[in-house]
Amino acid sequence: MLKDHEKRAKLDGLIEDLSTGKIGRRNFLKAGLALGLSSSLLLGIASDTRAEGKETGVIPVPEEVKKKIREEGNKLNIYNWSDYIDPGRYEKFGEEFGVEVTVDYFADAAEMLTKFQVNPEIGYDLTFPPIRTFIRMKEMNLLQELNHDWFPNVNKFMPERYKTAWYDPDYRYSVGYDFYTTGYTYNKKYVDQDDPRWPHWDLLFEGREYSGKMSMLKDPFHVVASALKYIGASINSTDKHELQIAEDILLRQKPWVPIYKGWPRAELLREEVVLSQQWGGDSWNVHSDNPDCFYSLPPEGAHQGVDLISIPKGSKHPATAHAFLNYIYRPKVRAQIHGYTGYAPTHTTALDYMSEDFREWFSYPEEVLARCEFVKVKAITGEGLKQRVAIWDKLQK
Amino acid sequence: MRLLRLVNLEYLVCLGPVILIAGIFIITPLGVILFFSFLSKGIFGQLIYSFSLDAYHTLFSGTLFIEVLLRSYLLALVTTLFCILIGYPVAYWLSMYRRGKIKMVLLALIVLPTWTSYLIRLYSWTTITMNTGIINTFISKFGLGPIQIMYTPYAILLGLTYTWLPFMILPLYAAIDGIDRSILESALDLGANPVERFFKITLPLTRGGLFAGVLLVFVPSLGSYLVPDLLGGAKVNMIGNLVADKFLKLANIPLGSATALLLSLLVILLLMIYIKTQGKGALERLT
Repeated sequence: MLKDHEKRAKLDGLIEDLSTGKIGRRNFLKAGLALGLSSSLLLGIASDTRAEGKETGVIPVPEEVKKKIREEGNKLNIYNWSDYIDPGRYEKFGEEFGVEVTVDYFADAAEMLTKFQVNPEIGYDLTFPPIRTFIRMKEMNLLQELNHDWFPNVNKFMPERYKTAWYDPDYRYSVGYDFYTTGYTYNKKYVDQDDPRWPHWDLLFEGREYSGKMSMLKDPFHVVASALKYIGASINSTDKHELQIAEDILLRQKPWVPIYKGWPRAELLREEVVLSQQWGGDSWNVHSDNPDCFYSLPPEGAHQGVDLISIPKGSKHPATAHAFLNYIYRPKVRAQIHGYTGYAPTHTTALDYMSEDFREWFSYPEEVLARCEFVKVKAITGEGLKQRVAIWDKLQK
Repeated sequence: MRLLRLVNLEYLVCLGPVILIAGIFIITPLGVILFFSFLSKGIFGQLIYSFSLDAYHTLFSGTLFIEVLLRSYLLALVTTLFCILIGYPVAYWLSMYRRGKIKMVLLALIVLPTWTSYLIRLYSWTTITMNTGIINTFISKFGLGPIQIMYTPYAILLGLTYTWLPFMILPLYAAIDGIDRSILESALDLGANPVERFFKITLPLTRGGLFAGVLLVFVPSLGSYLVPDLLGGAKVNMIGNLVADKFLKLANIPLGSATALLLSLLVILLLMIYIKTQGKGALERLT
């Protein structure tokens, strides 16, 4: 009689053979049943492996990592936004690598940051910070350095612009997860596209007739960023004069805005809100449920962001975490993940496997993208932060 | 001597668990908040572990905290008033004019909604009050509206009154039900009219229940977070939202802690005033 871990090892070998085409599906099932494994489990693995396993050009994690996964105790603890990875995905990874995946969720990046700040040694192996949070975590020394030898797929498929981005040159502490711009969602039934203010920021800041029917993000940085772009300034401005104008614009707009909310999905679906400052991916999700809702990326530019994946300092299973990163950089796996979340993958080929509509939604004109800015340190620290908080306080009164 | 030791032991056995629970779940968290509120934060938001009054200084340097605090007090006060105005007649009627099974059923109906999640009940209020909701759809049939209810202070009042009303009715009901009916009869026999009887007999006798109701409604209303967040459009802020905002939007742990601590202190102050005016046994009568 074989022991459990021996069975596991044999099964791993079989999966490997199946995915590389050494054995057929029928033989895989036969061999698996001989190990005493249930046919439904085997069928599940077989179909997944067929769907994703035969991906062309995918590089498996090095043997060294596989060995380390066993040494680390076959466990992976992930701290993620809710709904940011299809829960079935963790299971599939777990099945393929024989790892028990535990996931905790956060609703707010600051909530996540606070957890690590209060206890830097907390044992999560992966977390998903946006750039702003990532910068803070890096500066507070809350992250582990990545080992590039351990995730060949990341090296191969991560676009150059994220490998060399200013917030983490040479991706020493982060790999990209998804990409978005922060524009606004509008409802075609209510917003006339012949209006010269569309698709500019003007619609949000001059559209008095949409009073009571618009929403802004509940986020000091983004709200101020949109007003700054509207007046042609940089989203990271710390210029007193520019911020004063932005403040005046936001205070003028305030009575028209009944709700400041990060994710006003219900309001957009019920058409309580017909104009809404929003992240590109959320806009896609709203569009899927209410086909009248569309996204505008103002041609004068906007904020652009990337959500990243990092390994926190307290991680006890870094090799397993690297294996997970390598896994989700497989193009087809990645396409499925982002089909679920509605955000564009930071991946060179995953988009090829996604629907025409989705690709179109996230293909921004190069010249507009050139006017979109990443967040800079000066906007989220010191004087820049202080000024934004002061404006936010006035909006909250 | 021996007796004394026995008494002490008895105290320890009886009070020990209570002290332990209070210590773990009330004193310790407050202590943690107190500790964080006296720290300051570095340029990237990191906690600096040295004594600082920065958070308190920031809190009192602007008018935001005071404004939001006053608004919270006002909203909690009006909520309490509404709860009394609705709750007292209901409790009175239930206790005086209903008997037997029907009374039990009515009481159950008051308690029953509190068994459902608070969040779900608030979401259903958004369905009722929004511009395309039940109320506005109904009045639009008569060519009226829509009335903007959602995302206004009125929506918050509605939500708070709805949520906490049972906690006003129940202690009032218990108090009114406890009045010796013969006292009321003798008042009538001695020539008091129903209005006089109410103000001279019923109201003074139910003062304890009324105070209890006020406390049970006012305190949670003051610290309310979910109602203003869902019905107020996260815009008409109450102090609970301010605390969450400092932690979650600004990632400022010391400032959030200081705000939370002041809120707790204000609530404790209210309880102390209550005990002072109602006597030592006052809190026991609440339950």
